[in-house]
Amino acid sequence: MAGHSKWKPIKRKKAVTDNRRASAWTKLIREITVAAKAGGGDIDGNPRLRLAVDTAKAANMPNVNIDRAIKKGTGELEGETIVELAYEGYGPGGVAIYIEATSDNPTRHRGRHPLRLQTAMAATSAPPTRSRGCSTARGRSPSTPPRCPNEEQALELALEAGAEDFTKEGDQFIVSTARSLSTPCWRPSRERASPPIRPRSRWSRRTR
Amino acid sequence: MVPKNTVKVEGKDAEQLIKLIDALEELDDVAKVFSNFEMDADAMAEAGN
Repeated sequence: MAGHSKWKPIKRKKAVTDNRRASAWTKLIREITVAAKAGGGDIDGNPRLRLAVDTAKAANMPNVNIDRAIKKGTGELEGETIVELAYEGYGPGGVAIYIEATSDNPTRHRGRHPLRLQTAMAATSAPPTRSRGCSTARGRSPSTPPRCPNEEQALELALEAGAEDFTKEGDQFIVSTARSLSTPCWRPSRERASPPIRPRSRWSRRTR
Repeated sequence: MVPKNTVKVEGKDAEQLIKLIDALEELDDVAKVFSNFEMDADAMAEAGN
C-alpha cells in the first residue's frame, strides 16, 4: 500500500506553513530585540517595544520567545548584537525604495548577500534625477477620537510631542512625526486634563 | 514613511517592481520596505500574480 500515508500530504503542507511562520517570527523577534535595545526593556515606557510585542502576540508567538528577545536586547541574555540599517535605492520606473533592515552582521550585506543583489538590481535600473527625496515624515500615528475627543487638545498634545503634521481624516487624527516620539506625552506631569493621546510611532533614532 | 512625491508605474515596470519588493520583504534581514510608487488596483492585482 504505497502512497497511502495520510501524514505525508499533511507533512508537506505543514512544512510550508512552518517555514512561513519561522520567517515571520524571525522578523518579529528582531524588531523586539532592536526596540528593547533602543528604548529599554520596559513595555510601558517604550511604545515601540509595546507595538512590537503586541504584533508578536497577534502572531501567536509564545511569551517565552518574547521575553528572550527583550532580554537579548537589554543585554541580560547573551546573543548576537543586532543593529538597524537603512538602504535607499531606485527600482523599475524610477521608484524610490527605502529599506529598513536589521542585521547581526551588516558587513554581510556588502558581499554576496541577497539584499546586496536586490539593492544593486534596484540601483542599476534607476534614472538618477527622478523621485528623489522619497520622504520626510518618519512615522504616522492614527489616533481615534475616543482617546482624545477634542481636536484642539489633540493637536496641542501632538505638537508638544514633536509632531510635524496633523490632519484629520474621517474619524481619525493622523499625526506625522520626523523622529521618535520618545517623550511619553501621554503621561502629563502637572495635570491630567485630557484623555491621553498615545503615539504609536515605531520609529527610533538611527544607529547609522 | 510618507512620500513627498509619488511616481506612477504601470505595465512591465509595475510587475518588476512588485516582484522586487516581494523579494526584498522575503529576506530575514529586512524589516520594512517603503516606496513611493502609485499604481492602479487592477495593475497591482495583475502584477501580484
